Amino acid sequence: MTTQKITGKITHQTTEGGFWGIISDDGQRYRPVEGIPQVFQKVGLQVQAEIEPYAGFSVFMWGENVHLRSISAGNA
Amino acid sequence: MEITAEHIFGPVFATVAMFFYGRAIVGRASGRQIRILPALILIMGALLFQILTTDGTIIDVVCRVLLSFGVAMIIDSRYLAAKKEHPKMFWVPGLLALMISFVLYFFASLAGYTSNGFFAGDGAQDIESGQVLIELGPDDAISELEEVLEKYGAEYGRAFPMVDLDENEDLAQTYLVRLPQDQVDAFLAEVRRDTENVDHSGYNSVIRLNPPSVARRTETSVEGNFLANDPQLPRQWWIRRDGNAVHQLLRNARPKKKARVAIVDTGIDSGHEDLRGIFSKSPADSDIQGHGTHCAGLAGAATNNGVGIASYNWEGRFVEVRGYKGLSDDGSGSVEQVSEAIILAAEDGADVISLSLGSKTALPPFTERAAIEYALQRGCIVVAAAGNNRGLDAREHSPSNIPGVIAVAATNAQDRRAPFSNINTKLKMPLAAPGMDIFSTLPAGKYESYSGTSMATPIVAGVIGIMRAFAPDLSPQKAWRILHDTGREIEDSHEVGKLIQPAAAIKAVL
Repeated sequence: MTTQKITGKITHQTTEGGFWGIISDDGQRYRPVEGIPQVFQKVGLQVQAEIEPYAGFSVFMWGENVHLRSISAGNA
Repeated sequence: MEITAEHIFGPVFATVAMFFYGRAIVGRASGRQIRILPALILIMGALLFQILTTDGTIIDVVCRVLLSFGVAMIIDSRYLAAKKEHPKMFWVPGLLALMISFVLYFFASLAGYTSNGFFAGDGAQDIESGQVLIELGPDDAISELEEVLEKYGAEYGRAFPMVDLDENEDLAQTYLVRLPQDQVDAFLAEVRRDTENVDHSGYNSVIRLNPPSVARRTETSVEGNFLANDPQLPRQWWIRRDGNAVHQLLRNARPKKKARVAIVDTGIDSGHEDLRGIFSKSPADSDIQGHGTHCAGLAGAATNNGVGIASYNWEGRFVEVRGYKGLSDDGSGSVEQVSEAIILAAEDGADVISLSLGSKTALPPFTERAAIEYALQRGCIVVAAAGNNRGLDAREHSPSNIPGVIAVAATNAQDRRAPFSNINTKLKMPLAAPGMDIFSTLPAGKYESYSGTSMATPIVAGVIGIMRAFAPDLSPQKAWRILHDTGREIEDSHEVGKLIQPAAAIKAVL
């Protein structure tokens, strides 16, 4: 599967009991199926991440389901 | 784990700090005039550096600090031993620090309190991928792929052994192939070239568990006169609105059968006080995540039982609920997991299959489509959530976009499309139902409000279940037609379809 690098901001959605996601700088929504590490769970935190597509389903039904391969705070 | 400069510099800093601290302590003990303050400042600096540069939970930080200082103290003790200067002072605490670090991390990992910190390495986010689903042609055998399977070191088995070839060719000929993650793309490329044997192929992602944090909201109570005596009913705005009309219809009605509503989800807490009476023996009778239990309560929680919430299922006489675990405890599931749960529900004679799940894709996975077709062929009515992508058309969301599925968008208490809900302008069987601030059951006897098209879906599934209890041969198209024709036009109906009117729909089949 293709790994993709994105930069964006952490978001928290309250639907379906609540979950964390990333809205990339180009407006795309990504929900890591493994969740987002607790230290990055801050609304508005700028992050860069490496993601891979996840070909499955979830109860959250928001954005693209992805595997989070790496994540770090900041832009560069 | 990627080793960064911080990972190396941290322990080195700690070692140096401990060394000077050790020299100061030993020097003082020997009666020499050595200042201890600079060494203490150094060691506090090392501690601070460790905390600031360690990713992960507080347990990760504590364990990493203990590990660094433990290693540093042991190095110091060896240095002091060589100098014949009190090595025990650091040897014992060093060993203790290491032991505490390892023991704490071991038990914290088991309890899920660690993340990708110093010890976790890539394991904290390891993906158990490397799975592929392939569907062979009806006359083809997996042995014909033996060469390529062997080449990639793949193991395989039938994905749905419960389905015979004469029942459903597609599902019976679907195989789950396991192989190294880095070989998946090459393997898929190769089998896709084999059009003679392979009809379809695709990824089957699976994931490790990591329970999500939960944000919940509750509503305030409202007084009212209700037929049902369930104490939490005042918190259920949609039942407050039309519950009495439905309950009035059902109070003295005798159904032809008790309909089965299958909740394909994270499981159901079958022991919940408000579900015990309507839960029917089925594979997923527990629920860690909670989503499936919430949906089960909406589909048919025992009503007029003096406990908890109400549903439309008066006295639990019209609908029984069964649980099928298509999703893991973090709320996600592979194509194979969800498909298998749908197949099992269909084989168990489900009247309605409720799918409060989905994925943003215009092209449904072939296995999912085959599983739903299998359920439809067996007479099930399949209801699926339209998705929560804030206005995306449900045509871009699966499985709501699979032909024959009733797709459900969510509305709020003002009968407007819930802001998070997808729209539904292209699919053939759209409906809208309450999905915002929906109060229902959660595991361990709890109740909370959730919002989502997931909540609207089991409400519709429960109503269709009641309709099936009176009209056992009701087809999916007929059920949708009744709900549509009796439904109410709302301001956003051009986006989400008509808002269901349960009393009118049930009345139509009495």
